[in-house]
Amino acid sequence: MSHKDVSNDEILAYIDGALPADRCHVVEVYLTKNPDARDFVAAAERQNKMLRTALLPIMDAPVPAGLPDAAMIQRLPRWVELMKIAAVLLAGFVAGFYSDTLVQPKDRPSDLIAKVELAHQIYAQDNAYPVEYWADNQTVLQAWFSARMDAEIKVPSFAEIGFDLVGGRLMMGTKKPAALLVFEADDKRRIALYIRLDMPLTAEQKVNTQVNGKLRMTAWQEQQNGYAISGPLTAHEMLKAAALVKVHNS
Amino acid sequence: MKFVANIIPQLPYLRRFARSLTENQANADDLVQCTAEKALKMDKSFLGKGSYRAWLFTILYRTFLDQQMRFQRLNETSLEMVTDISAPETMVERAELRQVTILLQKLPEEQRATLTLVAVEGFSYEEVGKMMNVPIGTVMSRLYRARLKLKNLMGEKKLTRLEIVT
Repeated sequence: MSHKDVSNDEILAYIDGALPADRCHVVEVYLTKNPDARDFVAAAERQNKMLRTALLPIMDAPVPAGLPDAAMIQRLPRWVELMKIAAVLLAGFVAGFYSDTLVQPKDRPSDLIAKVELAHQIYAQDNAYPVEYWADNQTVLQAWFSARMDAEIKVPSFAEIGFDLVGGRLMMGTKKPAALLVFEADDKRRIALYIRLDMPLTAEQKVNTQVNGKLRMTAWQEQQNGYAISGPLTAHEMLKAAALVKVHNS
Repeated sequence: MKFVANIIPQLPYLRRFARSLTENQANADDLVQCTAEKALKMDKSFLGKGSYRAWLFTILYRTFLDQQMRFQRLNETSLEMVTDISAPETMVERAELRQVTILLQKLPEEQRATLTLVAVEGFSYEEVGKMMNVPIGTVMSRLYRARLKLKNLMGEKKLTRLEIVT
């Protein structure tokens, strides 16, 4: 394809519309006299058209939800994320201490408080049979939860605050099954984590906290997912536990 | 947020470029995700030299190369084509379009990326050179070889009647 007047680079630039107008004419004359170069240009122009057409459906397809959002969450260093969560939770604690209206209509995060408290008393404090699947079957437990709740359920780790997984059981949500996970510390204290995926989107988004004797409960909502933690925890431990769940789900 | 305002309009283009580099849309979206994360972390390092779009494509391409170094390429038999090619009228055209996406994957990755960036995304040779950290001469050499190889592959793979029917 070489020619003393026209280089391969110029032919490429001609194909890509990057050649100055005065050289375009020279290339066009050259192409009339060189069938190989003419074939190459025709093939390249056809390739361009086909590639653009073949890849066009991707441009028209909706961008998957969460593609940028997930990136935003992961942008933040872990300590910044924890600080942000702690600030939100702290606001919830303050609001909880000074609010007389902790009992809200059904299906609000505040209602999860009552659910998790009851679950804690019935199941988490039961030494004989607190769960349906024990921690040594965690893979099965996660698969079972995911199948029954029709979404991937990941078991968070509370190792940072000294609690290990005991196991889990299915509970009732409103429209779907819910999950209850039980964790235990070396001193035999237990945490219950209640997870629901069928919260109404219109529900309140603030963090709710309540203390009943030694038992502290915190609940919040993310999209349609509701989370509630109960346990004989200090405020600081509860903050960390909630933050671990939030980070785990992000 | 400024970053979100900048990146969201580019997502379809990034997905298209990623799709041309990878075997299926799921892998392409993973690549876009990694790109978005890196871009967020590096947002302040963008000094306004060149376009933000070219900067994002640079990150995507380098992320792709990093991943290629870490993971073995998937077997070609796992290629998943762009399936929703509905615009062309004839069955022959649809079959050819499917084939060009497959043949594109047969090019060496630097040729594939160069061809897509120039022919589909409309970047200049200079911009592609900066993205790939190579001189313009190398960009044009890769482009020429990519087009020649694709031309030969398409010539070898002239559609038979059987392929069109199936």
